[in-house]
Amino acid sequence: MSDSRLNSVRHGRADGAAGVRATPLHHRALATLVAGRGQTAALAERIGTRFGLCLPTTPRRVSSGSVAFVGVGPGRWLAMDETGDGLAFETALVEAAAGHASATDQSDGLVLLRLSGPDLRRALAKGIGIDLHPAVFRLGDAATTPFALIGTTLWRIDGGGHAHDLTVEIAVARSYAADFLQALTEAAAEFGFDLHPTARG
Amino acid sequence: MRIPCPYCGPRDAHEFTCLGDATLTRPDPAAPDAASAFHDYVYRRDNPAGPHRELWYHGGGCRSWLEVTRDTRTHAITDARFAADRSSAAQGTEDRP
Repeated sequence: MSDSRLNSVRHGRADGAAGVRATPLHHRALATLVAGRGQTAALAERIGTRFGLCLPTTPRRVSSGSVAFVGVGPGRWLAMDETGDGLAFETALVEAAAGHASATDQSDGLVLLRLSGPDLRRALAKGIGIDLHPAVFRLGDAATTPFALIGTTLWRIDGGGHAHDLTVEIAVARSYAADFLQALTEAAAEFGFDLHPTARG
Repeated sequence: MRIPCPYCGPRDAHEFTCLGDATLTRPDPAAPDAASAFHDYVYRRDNPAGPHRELWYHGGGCRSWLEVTRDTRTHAITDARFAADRSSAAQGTEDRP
């Protein structure tokens, strides 16, 4: 791999700073966690004890250390570990859940991207049907909703910039990642879009 | 048309799939009159003008089945709740799904 491939590739408007940036988040363990019937309260207690956090009952991201859980539906979460290996994380979840839930490794099933930039909200608005204004979509808020008819789950994180800057992480099924990136590239082109070359999944 | 999902919040109707009448109960297939009961269940549907309880599946979001009360004349939605809450109450279980 040549050095130039490690640099972001500019799409669309070429002048000025990029309005939208996309960076892949490799090496993060991902798993779905699904509570059994009537087991949500017992599961929350076990997960709380094991990982030191309170499982969200709404579309929110809750984290503790390297581990985070994103609410994606009633009794369903997308769990992630920034340091873990997928299979080890799945095993840790299964052991913590102790029969109250099923956990399935999704580290290879989903592509995770970090999206940022001053024009991100305007670019996402072309394909997503929810209000992502920072006053409404607050830090830690999550949503499962299609972008350009492609199912996604996204959550807002602190990008380190101005309080009104929108930075999100977004999970897309790996088989849809190429189509998702094509749609995002077209949506972001007018603002200047920096896409890291390894984001192609 | 927007549907106020009790988990996700208000979402465009395109994220949902409509199954139809939520007030019907599937007949007992072992009953002696099962054939005629199923005929009525499948084909003899009401088409009310006004508030109607319907089942909607939020496939684009939280993947929950909802029971939505919609006015068929105006599309005004006055209620949306998890369908599982109704069936779990009937079954005496405490949780979804």
